[in-house]
Amino acid sequence: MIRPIVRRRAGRATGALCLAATALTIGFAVTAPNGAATDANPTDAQFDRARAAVHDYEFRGTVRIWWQDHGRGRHATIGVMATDGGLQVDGGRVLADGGRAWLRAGNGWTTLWSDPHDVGAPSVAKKYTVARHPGPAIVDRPTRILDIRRDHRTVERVAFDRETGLLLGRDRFDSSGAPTMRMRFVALTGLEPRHGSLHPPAVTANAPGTREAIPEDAVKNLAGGFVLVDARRVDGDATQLRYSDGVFEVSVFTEDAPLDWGALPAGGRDVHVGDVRVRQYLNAAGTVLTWEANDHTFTCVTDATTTDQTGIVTALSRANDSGWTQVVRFVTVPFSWS
Amino acid sequence: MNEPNDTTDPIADDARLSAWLDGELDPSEQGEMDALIAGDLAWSRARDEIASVRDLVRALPDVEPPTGFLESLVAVDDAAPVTDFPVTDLDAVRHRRARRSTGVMAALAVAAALLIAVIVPGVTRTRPALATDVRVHQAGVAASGDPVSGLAPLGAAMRLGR
Repeated sequence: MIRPIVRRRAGRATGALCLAATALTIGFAVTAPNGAATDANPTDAQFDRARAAVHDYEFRGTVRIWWQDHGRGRHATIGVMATDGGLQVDGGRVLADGGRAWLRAGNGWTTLWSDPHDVGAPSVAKKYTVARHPGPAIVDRPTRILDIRRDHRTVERVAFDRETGLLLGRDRFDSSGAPTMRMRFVALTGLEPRHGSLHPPAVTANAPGTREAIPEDAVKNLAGGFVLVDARRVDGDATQLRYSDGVFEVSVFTEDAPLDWGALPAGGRDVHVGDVRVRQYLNAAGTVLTWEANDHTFTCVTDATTTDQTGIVTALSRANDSGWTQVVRFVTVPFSWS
Repeated sequence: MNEPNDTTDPIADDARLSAWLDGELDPSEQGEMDALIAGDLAWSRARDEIASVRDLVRALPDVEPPTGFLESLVAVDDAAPVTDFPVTDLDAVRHRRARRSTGVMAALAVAAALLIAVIVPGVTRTRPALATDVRVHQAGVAASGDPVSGLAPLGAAMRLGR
């Protein structure tokens, strides 16, 4: 039986800092890089190679991201730096290495992710078709393009550096074919094999991000070919269930209380999925949806298409049980008949 | 000859006897009272007592009130104007009572609210930490896909609060 997911975020930052100062800390041992391409499928292997390139090379780069925000284009320019096997983003505020990720919190660090690549994620080929062809140079480097398609329509176009495999560009398209996000390296310097090994930051023993056993009675398959990859403790009693279809991912967070609409940050827009009111945010990461149903608050973060989002919101809102098991069951059962 | 009865309550009939003595009864009542006095010793004794008191009172000399007595009564009235007497404003009393009632009702309402708050669990609404959700999600994307495109969006302002 899966326990209901409960979030207790109050005082998290303070608690984390106090614990960082007083509790035992552990340092993550530097593990062997997961640079080897492990997937047999060529497309999956290409992503494995891109991940390995970040770990195996050092570089300084500037990434420009454009995204669609309710009919208005937005963009941001972000610095990235890979050194000693670790990737630093946003001036070093975010650090990643070998599938693990940390976020600077005050004078210390907290964990965002603590496990490497999910081997249980479905293959890209299971849901999509992929076309390969040479692409235009990006930051003066020849690229190889993967056009990932579904129903003869490109949903994502990815450009890889021919020499190193580093991902240099990524375009995402909505169900209608309209572009929703574009990422490009606009500067890349110092690309060379790495010299040293990362010294991972020390975090508290109870830092979030650890993987939990997937509940036995959780149905694994979601609408649109999404597979339940894992369950994680976000922090405290919070749990994240993460689904993947091989290209896109869906994280669903739920809290056992109705939503405080008035406390939501500005910048969102109310949309309706059927008769469900949903607050929608569009940002560089993708789409954030939050809504309430049956005295529960749901938050879905995903880069999946609007068609898949609609199916998820509809299914979760139909759940009429306070237990997460029932929520998952309602999500999956309607699409298990096919 | 029959002995007269002795049964009449003299107190109850003092007024009738006094009126009989003053000749104020009508002829039928006069005749009835004559018969009672003649046939009842109690009535006869009562008549004699009332008659003797009347005679004593009428024999007293006239008494004049002390000099200045009436004037003093008038002077007391003049020295104590009406406004100096305690006055009760009925409107004010009604308003005070109304305010008192309102206060009592308000206190009861507060008490009831406190009682409900203690007994009935309140509905606590939640504020999801959207920014944290996005960071965690993107870290997963970076771990299972490409680290640069997964984490770079976290460098852009999300404006999602926590």
